[in-house]
Amino acid sequence: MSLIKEKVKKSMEHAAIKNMIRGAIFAIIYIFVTIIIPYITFSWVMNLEVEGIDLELYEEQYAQILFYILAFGLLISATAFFAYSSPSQSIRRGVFSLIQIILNCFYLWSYKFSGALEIQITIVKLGIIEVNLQQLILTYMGIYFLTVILKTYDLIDFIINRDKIKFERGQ
Amino acid sequence: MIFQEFERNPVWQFIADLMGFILMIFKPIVYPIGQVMVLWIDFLLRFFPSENITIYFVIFFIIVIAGIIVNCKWPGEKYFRVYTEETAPGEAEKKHKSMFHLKRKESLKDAAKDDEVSEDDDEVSEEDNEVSEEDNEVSEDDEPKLQ
Repeated sequence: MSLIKEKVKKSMEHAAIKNMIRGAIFAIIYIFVTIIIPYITFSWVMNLEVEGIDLELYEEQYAQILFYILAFGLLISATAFFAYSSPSQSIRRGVFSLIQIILNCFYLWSYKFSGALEIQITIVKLGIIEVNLQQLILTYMGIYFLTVILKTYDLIDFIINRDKIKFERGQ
Repeated sequence: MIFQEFERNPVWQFIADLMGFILMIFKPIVYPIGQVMVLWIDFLLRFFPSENITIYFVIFFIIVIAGIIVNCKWPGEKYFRVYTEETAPGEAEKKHKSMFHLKRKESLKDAAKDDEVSEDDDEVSEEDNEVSEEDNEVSEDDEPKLQ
């Protein structure tokens, strides 16, 4: 009996380490995707020059968008760590995946503060072109809503079939 | 220049057309949902602190540390096979059914054996009777000897 206990204890320790490594990897990926890449992009756009003309964003806009990128990026990365370090099909993974999707919605919508959703391009001798990306974002939001429904369904499924999942995990 | 190169490539053009087509189909359904989503997101965004970034850092560390602690306590690895088989949903019924069938089979076998045994017993009892009669005879023979 003590041998079995020791084996289970060891496998538990291995599982904990494995879970945390997986969580850390996903957290790093999310930090990279949600914080570092947008930060570099906005910094690049801030100092971009097209044919000698600066395409500078307003300082306030720039500061605000960087703030929201960092804030929601941190929250998304933390929830990603929690969700991906949890065992598969567990209730806590379901809960944190749902929170992560909702935070993604906030993150995406925070882009509107940057002014990047309504771009105005002036072409000499031709006129002005306005690109309104707000509709595209709204379509994305609709898709995110469907994802929220899917995650909610997953969570309910995990709760209802908890015993079955536990049993299958034990095989 | 890069975009123009992409435009010339028929594969990229096909993917772009396909994406546009899908978006055009789903737009009447997805776009109004998106508008509703934006309404409540706008409402909730007012409650998020927009001046102090340290709060978000604190939340980040709290969630990460909580994740580490929860994982150390409940890593969710394999359970004892003995316990899982007993507590498995649906498995108990199967077990019960199989046990029932087994018991039924066993009881039928036992009944058949009992029948055989009882027949044998009858034979044996007849033999015993014969033997007892013989014994009686013997005992009768013995009696005078003893006298």
